[in-house]
Amino acid sequence: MGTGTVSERDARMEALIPALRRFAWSLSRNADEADDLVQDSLANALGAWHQRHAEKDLRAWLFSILYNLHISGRRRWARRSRLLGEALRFQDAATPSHGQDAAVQCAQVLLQLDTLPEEQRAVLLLVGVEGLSYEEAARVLDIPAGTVMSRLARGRERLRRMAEGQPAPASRLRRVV
Amino acid sequence: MTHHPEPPIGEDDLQALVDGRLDPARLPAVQRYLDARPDEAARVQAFIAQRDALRAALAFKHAEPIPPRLRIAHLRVARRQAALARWRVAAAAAVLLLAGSGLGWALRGAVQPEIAALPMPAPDRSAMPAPQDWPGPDTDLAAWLERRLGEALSPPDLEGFGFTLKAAQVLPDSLGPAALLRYADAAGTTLTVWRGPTRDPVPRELRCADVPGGLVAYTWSDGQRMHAVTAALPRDLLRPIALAVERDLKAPPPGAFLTSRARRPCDAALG
Repeated sequence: MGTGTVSERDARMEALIPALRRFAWSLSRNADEADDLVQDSLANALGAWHQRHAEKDLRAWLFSILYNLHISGRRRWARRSRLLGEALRFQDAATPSHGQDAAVQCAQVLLQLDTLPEEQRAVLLLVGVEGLSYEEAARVLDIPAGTVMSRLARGRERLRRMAEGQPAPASRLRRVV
Repeated sequence: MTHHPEPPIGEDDLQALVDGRLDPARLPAVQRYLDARPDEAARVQAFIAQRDALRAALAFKHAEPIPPRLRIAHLRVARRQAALARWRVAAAAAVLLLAGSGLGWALRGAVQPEIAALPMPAPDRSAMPAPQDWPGPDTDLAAWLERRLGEALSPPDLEGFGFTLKAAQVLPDSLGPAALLRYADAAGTTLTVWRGPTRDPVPRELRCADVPGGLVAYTWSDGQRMHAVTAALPRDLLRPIALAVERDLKAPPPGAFLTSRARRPCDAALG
């Protein structure tokens, strides 16, 4: 059992729901599906509370439950290929990145994000948007911290090239790990 | 200023700069590196702009009010209801198994010829081991159980509650053998402790279920085995006994962890 009373624990968990919903939505890109994912994650967490090491970060733990649920559910759907097609069409239509209004840019960055491999996308979201440390992200994804770094570098470079309308990189980057 | 040679700037330094996680001691070196390389500086700028665009694109979701169904209090209620329904079924099944095995055992002579006459597929019958009765106090029960269950089970001592161990059985179950321990007190009240394998991998906390017929069952699961403590006793009397049994059965005997984790020959090959 963790420390603190049940109500304290519930309050700490509930405070993380907005971030969990954002992460779930950015992974699934569907409001209902995202909230289902959050609901299942919270239910799992309540059922497995005693498995959490008391000192470990609650946020990383909840994110990892959510990410694992997402991965296991997602294999059933070939959703990525559909989004990939959409994104490439979008890119054809909107190559010049100057003078775009903010809404279009937001839509574009999300579509481009969708073209990244799942594991790069998750790292970009956890570190860049959710503000997790590299160690926390490593714990969520169950990979070494060095791998977090290399996926982050590759994902960001790929998005950058996409935004500039350049072809996908032929791995100009030094490998960090 | 540094007396040690600086390690060369790497992609990890640039990413850490983007994320605001660069070691401050490293910052001057990274800054000098970028000042000398406008291309790299532009790349870092692009990463930062990209990160900000992502944050902006997703900010609305974080700002949204939480739907009621995600409130923890709501989830707790839903969990309790689901668990209660599950345990009602499990406890009823435990009692039925208990009644059924007792009845079957009592009638074994009378019914067996008929069963044998039925045209059942042979493998099913041979695969189903018969229930086994503990011969009695002359046989060490813990060792007897361990041989048949394939794992240690030290029978809880309930003398403190006035219950004496009277009988023990190992019963066949589809997932493996289950143990049934039977206790009785001076007034003749029978209490049973049941432990058997479960398919449900999620550990379940101690729950109480009233079973039709005046029986009360406390059940819990450690994710591998389900446990039930059943007796025709009021809840407030049975609960401390169930808690004591849970505590007794939770603590593995010394050395059990090591032997269960002993590496088998093919573990190494599998990595």
